[in-house]
Parts: sequence; C-alpha cells; structure tokens
Amino acid sequence: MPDKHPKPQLSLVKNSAGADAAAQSGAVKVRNFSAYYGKNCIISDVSLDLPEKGVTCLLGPSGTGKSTLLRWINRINEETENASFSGSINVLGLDVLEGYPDVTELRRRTGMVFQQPCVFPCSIYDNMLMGLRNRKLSKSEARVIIEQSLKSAAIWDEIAHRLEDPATSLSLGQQQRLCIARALVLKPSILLLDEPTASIDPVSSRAIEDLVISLGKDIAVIMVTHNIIQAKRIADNVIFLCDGKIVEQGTRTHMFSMRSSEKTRTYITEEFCDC
Amino acid sequence: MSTASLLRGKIAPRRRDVTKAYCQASAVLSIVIVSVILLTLLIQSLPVLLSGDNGLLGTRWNPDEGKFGIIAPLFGSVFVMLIATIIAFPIGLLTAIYISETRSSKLRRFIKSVLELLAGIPSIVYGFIGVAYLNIWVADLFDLQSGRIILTAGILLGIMILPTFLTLTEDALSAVPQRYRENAKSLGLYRHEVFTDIIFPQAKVGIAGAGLLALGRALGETMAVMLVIGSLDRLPSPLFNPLSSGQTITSKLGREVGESAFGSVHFSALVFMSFILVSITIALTILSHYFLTRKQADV
Amino acid sequence: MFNVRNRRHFSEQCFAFAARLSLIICAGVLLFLLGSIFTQGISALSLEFLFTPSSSFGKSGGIFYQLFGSLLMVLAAALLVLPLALGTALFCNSYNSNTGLAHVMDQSLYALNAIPSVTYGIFGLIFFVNLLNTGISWFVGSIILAIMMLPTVTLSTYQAMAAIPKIYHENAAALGLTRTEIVRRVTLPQSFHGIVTGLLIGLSRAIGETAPIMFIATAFSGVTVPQSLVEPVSTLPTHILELAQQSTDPQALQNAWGASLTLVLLAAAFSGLALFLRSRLNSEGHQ
Repeated sequence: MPDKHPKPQLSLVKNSAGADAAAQSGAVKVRNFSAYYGKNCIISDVSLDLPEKGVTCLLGPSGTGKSTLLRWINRINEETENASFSGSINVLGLDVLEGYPDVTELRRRTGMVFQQPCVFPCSIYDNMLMGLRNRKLSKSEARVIIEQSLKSAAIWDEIAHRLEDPATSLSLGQQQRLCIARALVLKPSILLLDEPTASIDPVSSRAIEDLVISLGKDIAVIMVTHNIIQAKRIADNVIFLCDGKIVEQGTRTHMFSMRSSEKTRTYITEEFCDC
Repeated sequence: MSTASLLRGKIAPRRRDVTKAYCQASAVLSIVIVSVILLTLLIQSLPVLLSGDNGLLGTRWNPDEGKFGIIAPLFGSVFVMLIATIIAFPIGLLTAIYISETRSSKLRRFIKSVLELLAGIPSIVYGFIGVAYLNIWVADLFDLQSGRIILTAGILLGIMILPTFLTLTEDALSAVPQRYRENAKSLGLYRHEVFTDIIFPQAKVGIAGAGLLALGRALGETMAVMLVIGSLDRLPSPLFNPLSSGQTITSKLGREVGESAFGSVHFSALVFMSFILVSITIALTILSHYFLTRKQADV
Repeated sequence: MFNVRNRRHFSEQCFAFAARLSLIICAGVLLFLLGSIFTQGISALSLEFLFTPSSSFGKSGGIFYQLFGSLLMVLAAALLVLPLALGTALFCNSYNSNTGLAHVMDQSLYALNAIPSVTYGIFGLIFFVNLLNTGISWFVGSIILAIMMLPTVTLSTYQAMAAIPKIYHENAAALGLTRTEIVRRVTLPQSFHGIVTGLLIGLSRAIGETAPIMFIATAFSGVTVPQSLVEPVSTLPTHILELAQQSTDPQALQNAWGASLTLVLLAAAFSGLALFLRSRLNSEGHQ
C-alpha cells in the first residue's frame, strides 16, 4: 500500500458502490488531494472532476505537479522514492488509494503512455501481447484485438506487414504510437498521457495529436502538456495548474478567450506565470 | 603543422622520452610476468607428463607407486563447486531482485557497503569459522563422526561466493532503466511477470557474467576448503554422496606442496594439477568479462 | 499479507515472499559471520595481545610478530607494485594507440586476476625459492603479493585516468605541452585518487592471503624481526591456519579468534579508507 503522509485529510467522496458511480459526471474525481516527495509538497489540496469522454489537458509550467497528479491516478507514482499523498482520488467509482488492494487490477482499467517512448526489446507483436496477459484468449482472438488496437492507434497500415520485426526498429514517432496502441489493448476507459509528444519530432507529433482527438470521442483522455498551442489544438477541457494548485479550469473556448482570468491569459499569451 | 599532429606528439622530442620508455617497459613487464608464470607451470609439469605409466587419468593417488590420478581431486572440485552454486545462486538472485526493486536508495547503498565488507573477509577466516562452527553443526545434523566432508566445504564455499554474486547480479538488474518497470506495471503486469518478461531478458547477460565470476572464485578457493573437506583422495561412494570426505584440487595442493620434494615426479604431478586449474579459471574469467561488458544492443 | 485476488496475484505474492525470505537468510548469514568474529575475537583482543609475541606454538601469548610480519610484507608489496601499475596504466591510457596490444594487455591483466592464490604460491616456490635459490624469504612473499595486486591497482588507476575529461587534455595540448608533460601535469594529479584507492583495496586483499605465502615466506615459530631480505617472517593468516589445525585446544581457538578479528579489522580499515578517500578525493578533483 502506498505511503500516507502524516496529515491525512477527510475524503469527501468515497463511493464503493461500483459501476453506478461511473454514471455520475466525471470518470475521475479528485478531492483534497496533496502529493509530497519527502517533505516537499508538490500538489496542495487539489479538487477536480475529469469528464468521462473527451480530451482534458493539464496545462502549466514545468515542475508544477501535473505529471505527479497524473501518475497518482494509476498509482504508478508509488514506485518513486519518497512519494506520499493525502486526500482521495476516485476512478470509475472506486477509491484508487484505498479501494484497490491489488494495484495491478487498477492499472488494467487505465492505460498510460509516458513521455519517452518505451517499447520492450521484443517484436511488435509481442509488445502488444503484454497488455493481454490477464485474459485467456486464443491466438486468433488475441490477433483480432491487437489488429483493432493498432488500427485505433492509426499505425496499422504502416506495420501490418512487419509485426514480427523488433519494435526498436521503428522510428520514435511510430514507437510512441505503438505505446498508445499497446495501452489501448487493455480497452481502458481512461487513457493517461504524460507529455507524449515531448520527445517526438513535429510531424509525428501532429499524427499523435490527431490520434488523441479521435480517441477522445470514445474515452476519457487526460493529457499533461506544457505546449500551449498543442492544448489549444486538441483539448476539449483545460485545467491550468500552477505551483501545485489549480488556477483555473474550463472548456477550451472559455480558457482561450478573453473571459478567462488574468493569470490564465498571461500564461497563454506570454508563457509567464508568477508562481 | 596541425593541432592534431601536436596532440599525437609526432614532433621529435629533443631528448629521449624517459617517461614513455618507462611506461612501455612496465607494460611489457606485465605481459612477461603472466607468460613466465604459465610457462614455469608448464615446464615443471613435464616430468610427470613425460614419465610413462603415471596413472594421471586414474583415480588412485599414491606417490610411492608413482600413481598420480587426478580424477578424484578434479571430481571433488566440481562437486564442491556444484553444491556452492546450488546454495549461492538462487538465494543470491532472489535477494538481488529484492534489493533492486526496493524504493529507498539509502537502503540500497547501505546493503551494498555491507556486501563489500563481507566480500573482504579473508578466506582463512571463513575456513576457521568452518572449523569452529560448521564442521560441528554438520556432524551433529547428520550424525557423523566428523564434519569434514564435501557438504561442509560446499556450504562454506557457497557462503563465500554469495556476496560477490549478489553484488554483480544486483548491478545487472539495476542497470535496466526504471522506465521499463513503469511501462510494464502500467500495462497491468504483476511484479513477477515484470521480472520474467521484461527485466530478466535484459539483465541475463550481466547475470551470466556474475555467475561465471563466482564459479571461478569457487574453483580457485583454497584455504577454506582445505580446512573442512577431510583430504581423502578417493572418489566418494556412492559417487554423488556429499556426506563423505573428499579432496579438491586446491585442498590437495594446499596440503601436499609443502611436503613434496621439489623436482620429484610427485611435485611435478601437483604442478600439473595446478596448471589445469589455472587454465580453467582463466578461461572462466575471460568468458565472464566478455559477458559482463557486452552491451545489451549486441544481444 | 496474503490478500489474494486471483491466481496471478497469488503467484506474485509467492514471488515477493521468496525474495523477502532470501533477504532474511542473507542477513542472517551476515549477522552470524560478523557477529561470531566480533564477539569471539573481542574477548581475546587487548593491547597486551597485540604487542606480545606468541609462545608455545601460538597457544598462549600474543601476535606481535605476526602483526609485524603481515604489515611488513604488504607494505613492501605496495611499494613494489606502485611503480609497475602506474607505468602500465599510463601506457594503456596515454602512450598506446595499438588496439591489438591493448587487447593483449587487458587479457593479461584478467589472466593475472584469475590465477588462484595457491598457484601463485607454487610459482613462487618454483621460481624464487628453488630456481633462484632464495630460500624462504619474506621479500619474495612481497614480490608475489605485488604481482597479485597488480591487476587491481592497474585497473583502478587506469579507470581514474580514463575518467579525466578530455577537455583538460585538449587545453593542455593547445598550450603546447608534450605528451609527457601532459602526463606529469594533468594525468597524474587528476588520477591520484584512483592510484590511492586501488592500492588500499589491493592491500586489503593482500593482507588476508594465506596460500601464496605459506610455502615461500613464512615459518611458524621462532621468528622475530627479519634481519635481511631472505629470512622468513610469520604472518597473521598463516598463524590462524596453524591454530585452526589445533582446533581441539580451547586456548589455541581463542587466540585464533583474536587473530581473525585483528585481520578482519585491518582488511576493513584498508578498504574503508579506500571508500572514504574515493568519495573525498573524487569530489575535490572534479567540479
């Protein structure tokens, strides 16, 4: 179980009713959540709701806790040294931090793609198989699912004929799309993307952005980015984080208009935030 | 005159470069030393090799009869090494897995310094502990007259090679970047699956190198084995009985070299055994370095 | 602890349990080793023990001459190995451009490292004691120990030299320094920590060696301070060996524990100093 920081807060939402909760608005509900590395407080007392569908961008300057928040949603941050938390996060109705004694089950319901494309040193096909470990499938069933996922990741045409090739022979942009496809094999309802285009060239980045937009039509995509133009292009909702606190959140049209707060407008136009 | 040629020192110095000559001589001397050692061993092995009917490939060792069968000590060396690896490798691997997966780097550093300390304990001290404790415990456990048996030597040797194997294996496991673990866990893989499918394939070359190095140490260890093995120049009967006394090449050398006359066929037989041992350990070490330094991309 | 959700989860719990168990076994073995050396040896250890000569074949008395003999031999070995290791490492780093030769050098050093200690003893016996007719001599022991230390010290020195940033060499060459001057003013000072730590680690191993020296350098009793290079000494490891073979005598055993503790403390002191200096000198040398 992950470390609890010495001052736990009340969790307002702790719903173990299961699937019904998901029908309420918000696939992910964060309540009074704070995250720490040792004594350093990275996120302080954040509460928000992330919708069930659409692309939500976590925007803000580097080091303000966007990635940390994302990584606590599937609890991958508990692998990091000295990381602790207080508060609660609810994913699809279950409290992530207390309601899942087997954290691997939680991670099967969410998919995550990291900033640096990380394909395993085996063939493309074997990479895709990794996500199917928990399901007993015949070879043909597995092949169907893999083909579907590769198609949803818009990479099927490029690699259909070379599935047995080592995954490391792909370009970086292709590898990242492979990582997205690999995560999609789990059929997650929530896809977590941690600055997925930061290490990729601009042309491949556009391809990935288009992919994200199309994925957002069916599932909740939560993407961390510090690229303001990218957020403007693909986000349905934007959450602006600065210094571990939410400055403002809203739809894309609201955030990128004159109606947003002054701090937001300053950041969007001048990329400056005086946190 | 380019900077490149300046760097290469192609401009002739005005006086002879003494430092350079000295360094060249040192390097040559290092190579010469190795050759001299190997050559000396080979030459001193000749008397026994050239004397016919030496029984070298037999199992009887009787200097008075001119029989110098090396099979029994050779078998003993391999048997003891086997027991040592059965003990050290599984425990070492599992412990290395635990250490490499632990979150706290402070704990990791602490464990590694303790392991270095353990690896620095001289082998004679291990041998003495074997005599003072292990012999007695093993004798009590198996209800034997004496604990000076192959099993004791194997256990002691296993304890000796454990720290070295553990450190090197842990290095190999930690060398696999953290992002592979994160990606695998995000896909819903359990920790043992992360290890077997992702970590181990990438670390196995380093682990093989660690294992070979540990094997080399096990084969070459003298003092500890000598004190607890019983020095019996016979193949155990039945053949794979670890509860009998035995002999390894190193324990035999340790006991008899001081007592045999220089220049005799007896002495030459001992030197020949030593030469065989050296050949095996050098081969193991070179092979292990090859594994340890191979980059993952070559695999 | 065993909160099982499905079959794969169960396998994971077993795996984690096995790993934890192995760690506990290792810790147990470690505690047993260090603990027994310490608790048994500390009762035998005293200033009197350290500075009194041994008597009645080691069963009573102290270990003064053994301590002296050990320290004399390893310190002489260090003095012998230092120039050779330095020259060899410098050659590999600064003066050699032939990759074939570099490969041969590497393999030679690995081979030296791989030779078992008892074989070094046999070699010393053949080459020095008999062929060169030196007889049992502590200095020959130092020579053999120096050869054994050679790979360790050379490698440590070489690694320290290779770690010097190329920019130092480039700047020095741009100032017009010859290769030898670069060696003297840049390479040697910057790799000093590697030389020192390599020596200390080599010393830590050499002081515990028994097999190389027991045929060629040591005698068990009647030995005090050697008056020449070709006399025997007694040393801690060989002393422990003799006492271990009298294991039925409790007094001998106790002295053996005391000698073992002394030996372990000496070896630990050398390698502890090496670790300490490695972090100290390294951080000062590189910004």
